[in-house]
Amino acid sequence: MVETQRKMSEPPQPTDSHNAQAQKSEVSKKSLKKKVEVLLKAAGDAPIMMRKKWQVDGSKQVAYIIEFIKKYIKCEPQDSLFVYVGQCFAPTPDQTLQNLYDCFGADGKLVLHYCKTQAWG
Amino acid sequence: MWKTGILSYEAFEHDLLDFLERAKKVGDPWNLEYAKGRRKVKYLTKPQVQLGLHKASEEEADTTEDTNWGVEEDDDDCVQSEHQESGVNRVFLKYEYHVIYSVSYSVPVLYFTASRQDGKLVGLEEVWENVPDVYRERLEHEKWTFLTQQEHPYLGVPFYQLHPCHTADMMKRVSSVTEQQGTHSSANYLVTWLSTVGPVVGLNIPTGYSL
Repeated sequence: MVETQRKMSEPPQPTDSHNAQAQKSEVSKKSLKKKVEVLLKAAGDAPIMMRKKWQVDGSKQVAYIIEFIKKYIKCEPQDSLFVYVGQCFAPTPDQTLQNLYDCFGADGKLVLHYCKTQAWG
Repeated sequence: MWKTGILSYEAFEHDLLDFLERAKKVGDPWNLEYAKGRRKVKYLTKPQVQLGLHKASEEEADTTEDTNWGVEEDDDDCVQSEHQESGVNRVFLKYEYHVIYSVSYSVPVLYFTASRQDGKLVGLEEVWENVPDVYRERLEHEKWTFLTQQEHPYLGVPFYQLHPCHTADMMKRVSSVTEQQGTHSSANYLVTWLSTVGPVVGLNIPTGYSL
């Protein structure tokens, strides 16, 4: 079931967090399409994801990640999903991942905590 | 930190002052206000002018509903979008956001009001229309419960209120993030909460608040 979920329109590239991969990302940083290594962590009672590390195009926005997680963990339409960085800060959905990485990234990756709530307000 | 998701007034005041400090650094025009009366209850206000959507004519508008509801801050096309083909106009709306502590819910509550340039208040329908696309699908499910128009607790005039009954529950879930990171001391309830719920009504909290 998880396998089918991975097949999104533009699936993020898998990472093996080996040296070769790290070097590769160093090189790709110089090219136009920068990839950002994103680590997704569940907060509250949100379901965890089988795979936590993803390489995502840096120009993608937070809204894209939110949609991606929602599909991956099969959120109901009435659930809201929020993403947090750093000290519990929710970036606006139009923020790009590259920007966030520049502000909050550490050790070559950007840690995002996601949290599911059932109601708004 | 706020493991229970709720906040005492003293804790609210503490975070409020910290929030103001951060706002000053970022250059965000938040002001401190005091409620009239014996107890000098503190609350926050922020004026903001932004581009909003306004239906050119209500009869025509029905046919064009889904197409042109966008995010409000598209500076690039504000000039030529004076009158878009779809019959949707962009107008300047004057927002005023208030952050007020609710004694009954023990959480801060976001109040806001919006008016046009001629001073006319913006109706509920139009507030819904100005919700950014990313939240739209989600909010269709509870259109009627997330916003309430009610009396401002200190000013006595009508304001929209982002309903507080789920705030504590949401913050309780989020509080586990600070535990995972061990950053208890620097987290601010108001920053976390406002950055989560603010964007839905056009209130953005810049990244600088968290740096």
